[in-house]
Amino acid sequence: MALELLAGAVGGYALAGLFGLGVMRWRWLADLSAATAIAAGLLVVFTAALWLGGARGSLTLPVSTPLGGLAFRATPLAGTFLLLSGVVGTGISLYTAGYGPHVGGPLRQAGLLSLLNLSFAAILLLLAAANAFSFLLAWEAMVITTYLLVTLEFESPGRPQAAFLMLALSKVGFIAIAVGFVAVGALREGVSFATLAQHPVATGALASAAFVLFLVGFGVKAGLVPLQGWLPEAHPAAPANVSAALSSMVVSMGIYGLVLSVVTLLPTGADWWGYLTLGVGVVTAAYGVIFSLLVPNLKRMLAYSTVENLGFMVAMLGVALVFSSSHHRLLAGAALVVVILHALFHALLKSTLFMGAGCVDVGARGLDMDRLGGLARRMRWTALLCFIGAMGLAGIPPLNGFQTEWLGLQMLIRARVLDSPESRVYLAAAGMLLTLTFALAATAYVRVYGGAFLGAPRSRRADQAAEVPVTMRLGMLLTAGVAVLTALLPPLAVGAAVASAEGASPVPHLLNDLLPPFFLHPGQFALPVEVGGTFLSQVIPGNGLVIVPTSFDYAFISPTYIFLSLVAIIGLTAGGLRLLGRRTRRESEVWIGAGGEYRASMQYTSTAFTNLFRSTFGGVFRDQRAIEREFHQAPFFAHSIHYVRRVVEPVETYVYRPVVASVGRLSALAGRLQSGQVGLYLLYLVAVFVLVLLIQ
Amino acid sequence: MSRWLTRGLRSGVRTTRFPDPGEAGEEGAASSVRLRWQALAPAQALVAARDCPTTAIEASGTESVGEMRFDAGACIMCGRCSRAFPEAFTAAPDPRVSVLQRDRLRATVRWSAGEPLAPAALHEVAVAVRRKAHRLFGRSLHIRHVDAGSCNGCESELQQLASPYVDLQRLGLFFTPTPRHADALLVTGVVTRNLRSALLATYAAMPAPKLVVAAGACAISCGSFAGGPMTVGPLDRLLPVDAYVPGCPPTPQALLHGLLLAIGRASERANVLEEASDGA
Amino acid sequence: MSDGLARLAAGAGLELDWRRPDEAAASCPEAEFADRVTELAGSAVLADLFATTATGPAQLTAVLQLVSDPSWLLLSAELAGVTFPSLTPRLHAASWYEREIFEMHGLLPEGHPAPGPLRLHDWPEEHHPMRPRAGGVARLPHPPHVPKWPAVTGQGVFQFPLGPVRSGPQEAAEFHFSSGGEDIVALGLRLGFKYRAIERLAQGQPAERALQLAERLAGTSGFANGLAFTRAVERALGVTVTQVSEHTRALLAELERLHSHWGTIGRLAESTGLLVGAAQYGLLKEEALRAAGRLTGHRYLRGALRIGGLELELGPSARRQLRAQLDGWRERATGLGRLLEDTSTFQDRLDTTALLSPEYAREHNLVGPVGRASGIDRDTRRDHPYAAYSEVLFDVPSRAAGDAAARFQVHVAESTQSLRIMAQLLDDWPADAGPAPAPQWHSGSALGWAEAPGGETLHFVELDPVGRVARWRARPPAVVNWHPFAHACGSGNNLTDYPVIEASFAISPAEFDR
Repeated sequence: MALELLAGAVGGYALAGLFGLGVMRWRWLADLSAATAIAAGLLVVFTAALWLGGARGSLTLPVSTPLGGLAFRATPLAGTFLLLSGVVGTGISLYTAGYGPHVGGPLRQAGLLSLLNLSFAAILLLLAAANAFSFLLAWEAMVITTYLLVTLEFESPGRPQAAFLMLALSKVGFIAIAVGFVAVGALREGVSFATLAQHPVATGALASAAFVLFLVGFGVKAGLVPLQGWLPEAHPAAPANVSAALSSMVVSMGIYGLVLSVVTLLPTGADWWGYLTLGVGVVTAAYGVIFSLLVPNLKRMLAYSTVENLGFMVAMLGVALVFSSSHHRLLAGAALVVVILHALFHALLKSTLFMGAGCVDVGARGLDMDRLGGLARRMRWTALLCFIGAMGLAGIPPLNGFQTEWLGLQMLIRARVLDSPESRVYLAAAGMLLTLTFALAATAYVRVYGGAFLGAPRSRRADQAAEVPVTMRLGMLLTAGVAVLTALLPPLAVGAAVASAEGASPVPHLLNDLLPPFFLHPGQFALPVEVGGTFLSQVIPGNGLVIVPTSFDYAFISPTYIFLSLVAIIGLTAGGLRLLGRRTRRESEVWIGAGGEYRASMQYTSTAFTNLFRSTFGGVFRDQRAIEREFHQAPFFAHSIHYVRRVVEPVETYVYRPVVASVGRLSALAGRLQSGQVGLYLLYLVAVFVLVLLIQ
Repeated sequence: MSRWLTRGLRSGVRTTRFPDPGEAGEEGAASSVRLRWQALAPAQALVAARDCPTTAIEASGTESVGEMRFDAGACIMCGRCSRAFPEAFTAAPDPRVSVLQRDRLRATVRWSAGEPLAPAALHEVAVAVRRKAHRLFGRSLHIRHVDAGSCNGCESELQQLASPYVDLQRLGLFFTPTPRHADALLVTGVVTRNLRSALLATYAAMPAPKLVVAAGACAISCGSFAGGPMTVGPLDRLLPVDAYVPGCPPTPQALLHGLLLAIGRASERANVLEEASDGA
Repeated sequence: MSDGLARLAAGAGLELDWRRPDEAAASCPEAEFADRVTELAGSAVLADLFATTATGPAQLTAVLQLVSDPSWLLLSAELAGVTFPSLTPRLHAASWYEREIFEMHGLLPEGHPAPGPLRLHDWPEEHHPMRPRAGGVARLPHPPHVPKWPAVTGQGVFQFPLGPVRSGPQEAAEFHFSSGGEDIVALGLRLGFKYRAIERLAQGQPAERALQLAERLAGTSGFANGLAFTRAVERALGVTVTQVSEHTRALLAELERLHSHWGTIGRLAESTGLLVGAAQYGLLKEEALRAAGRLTGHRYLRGALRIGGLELELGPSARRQLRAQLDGWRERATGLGRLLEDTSTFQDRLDTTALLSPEYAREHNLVGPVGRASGIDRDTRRDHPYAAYSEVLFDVPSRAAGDAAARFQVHVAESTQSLRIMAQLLDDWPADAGPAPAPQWHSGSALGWAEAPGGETLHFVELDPVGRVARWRARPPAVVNWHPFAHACGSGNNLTDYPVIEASFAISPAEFDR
């Protein structure tokens, strides 16, 4: 049953893709394709609920190769990711119904619809893959379809190169994953992930090598420094719905792959695995957030923010590995829950924001935050939904980002259970850097929302912005609504994440330790009942509404109660002011010192807002500034002044370019072998023949 | 930093006790000239009017019959009348020179063959206390200053209001940088053509209730710039003025008196005419 | 007669008419004017450039001074039409003078890259206030205030408007910053809000009335401007002043410098948040003002000057009282100055802020403490002695750094020198030689100068036969020193440094606008 439903969903997406192809000829097929995709997406959500509930199933196709066959299975680990894919996929399909016409003519729309639905289908197959061969096949399908999607608007300058960078890095990743699977012994006939999870084969050095390979391979999709280069390039290049899919579903597949390979396929490893992963994750998070503060393009900023969030997820995975290698299984399980929970939340919120960016692009015809402004009045729904997304990812209580960031930091605080002081210091330092990252992330989102939506419009296009079609807003509403729902009802999200984590590595009582069952067993808890911990127990099923980092000794929060109190406080205050406040009002001009009319250029721009960080973190990148003047006769009579600011991105300059340059040199060298002379080639043949004979 | 602390402490308390009765003449000079009419002879009145550079002293008639009109609001403190006839035109350094109505800065004296020089009408000491202003601003007044085209002498005296000798903040008076938070608009300078719209914009940006105080001869009567091509003022031609502080520039204590007068914490001290029996 | 100037003029082919031992006039044809002035400006300093249209045909006059020579040269040219070849392309110091000539007199400098108005805001183009028939101003509409600022482009650049109504009790001037966040990319400056048409008001007035206008040109340098005007009239009339008057004038001028400088340093301390320092200097300034009030009856020394002398005498007891105060002041002022230099939170804000390089200062012929802090070692009291300055010893402090710290140091050192001068004057008071005779009024013209707290102030006065002002040109130091302000703000400074920059320059908009 579990797999049959998934197969139905895959078929639904394939059908939607087919309909999409037909849009070349009949335009109305676009709506049919959208409807089919939405139905498939809802089916996926239902399937995910089943998988999380523990339903099992397996399916093996009668195809056999020396590297393994095509086998699929239902697991709880994939459940949350399936849920994420379903909700986001449905949202994007809804959104595409309205956004599609803005991408281009019928040919391009057809390409968009068919490839998008095919990529969704590939992702579903990936999540259900039961062995390495099927996994790799589905992975490659996902890579190729997403590459083609990114190049959809290929005539704009820079876009083909961005897509190519994504493809190249994905290839590097693919090779690493494949070799990793080989090292682990998964890419063999008759070996499936389930068997390997029971009896891991690789040990010692081989396991460590496999670990590093998996980290690199999945790290490409999970945006780890220095492999994150494709993210900030591909996201602005792709159409908004594709960016949303990339940033929510595709990168989550990287996380899924990491969890699957490192947690299930490899045995409990050395502790340096955890430290390495934690370090890489924290560095990635810091790198991502610093650049998200600087770039003026809205989509690029969101891409860097994705890098930051992925870094956080990988860092938490590292924490889980550290705890598991020192046999603190409960804490390891809790950390793993954070990873999966954040993957879910981030996917929901980031897809909302990317769809919002697409709305801004359509409505205000521009994505440069320094030239937007005032969109909250002109695009109310978009503004509201983007506000939810921004608040969520900035970590404002009681929304999603706050919960996972809080829980993650709590896990780092638990480092005191570790034995060696070095590891405690290491985790403490990581915690400090992560906290800084979160604070900067909040600043970055204030900058984004303030710059694009608040204030006065800084350009004519922003001034004439119009709200977008209904379906686009509905798509955003779906993802944002589910995000808010899961934020305010912890049993939903935490429950799903716990189910997935237990699927990866079982820990007894994990759910009760994270979400104490006040509702179910109020007698066991004295304190919460006194403070009203059973409030809403009749209304909401589940353990309770209080999240605890496995022990009440540290802290506890309840997003639901926070939300209700906020509503009450704001409501009472607003009501009180309305009753008691004065009525007389007089409108007046904006005060700028009586120096003429107020103009929108007198507002802070988003780039100016974070100018201080540009100077402070100038060590990470090189901050170059110059003032260029054009003048008559003497510099004193400048008639135009131009202020230039440039940032040098270190990974691109110090990693990619040298690598590409040396590869180029190597291939130039190799090219000398291809002289084109027949005689030389015959000589090569003879040499190889002799060599083979010798070896035999 | 501690050296600044000790230096500050060593300076002790230098603040004047004004508006409580304190040392007379501690500011060194007067803010306005007063007319001691009983010591004035008609001949002197005519000479003073001839030499006065503004409309502060105007006379018509002859030594036998005539009148002299005195306007302290136009006095630019050039010192001619007080140096020539010190008994009649006293420059006593009493800072309580501000008034609530423009007319209270004016006085007319007449003489004729049969009668000696006497004021045209005997003014009464008005005990005008502004109750509503006192209720609203009596304890704390936030002042927005606007330079409407002054010579910067008034601004210099305003900056001295914050010096330890005067310290307006001890009385609950503060300067505020934004008109949105301001209760009173303090204007110095003739209103020049170029600053007219800025002045009116500032006034419009202040929320009601608000006060307007005209400080200095330029604001009250355009001073020596009266009739000039760039002069739009005086201030009460553009805005409703609540208090007038004469002087060129008015001393810091005179400015204090004017502000306190506007909020009902001080009273006008008689008028510009001084009886000979009045104290110096 | 002096050698340097004579040789220079001979080299330029000019015939000099020595009206006074230290003032020579020359004239040249209109076509050669620009070349001659530019040539002379190679070794001399262009102190002023103005036009006269009220008395006869339109005339351009350039005032030049030689560095090593106490004399002045006034080079004039009569203009036939309403244009003249501009000096600005070759002599940048002439730029703002020519703009003022154009807006006030309607004489267009041909070749000037940007001859826009300096003080008139949004006026009809054919209206020039200083032309003889300029009238009907009352019928002009009020300026709507539409400023034009330099165009600044760049990613994320925004505009930050300041003024004309600014924060505390400050004068009205408008600044328009273009910023990239915290830094200042460019500054647009708009003055002229306080233009009261003083020169126009004075035309046709008796010299005594015009003196009162000169005193009210600016409050904190009123005595110096009045003194320069008075000296111009006295030189035009050929009147000599008694020694007592010269001593008293120098004494009062130094007293004005004291209260002005102490006010400047107090504002500088306040701009960096050093409130105790600001309060201490506020005490000093108030004491100086009170001393001035006791001596002259007016805290800002107004009404003390008279054409031909002074309106008052300083009696022995008043002089003793002042002398006794000087020592206390010197001790406190020196101590405070040293304390400020040792306060790192204060000095750090001033170091390298608003740098004006010596080359830049030379190109603009800066005067006063601003110029002396950028290496221009000129002081009218030493180079063109007047009043009693030739009888006292004093140093002229100067620095080469050109930043706000250098300007601060120059202000502190100058106030110490003022105390020194005052002590010397009071200790060596001349005997009273009796009252000076009243001046005889006749026509004439002359240059008068003084060292105001902000620098050299230059006045040119032309009298008609009954002693009324036919033409008065006032060039107080602010006219020169506001010129480089926008550039100084842009040299890598922050928005938050702006109050420090303005306080360190200490130039008055009222003095510029007149």
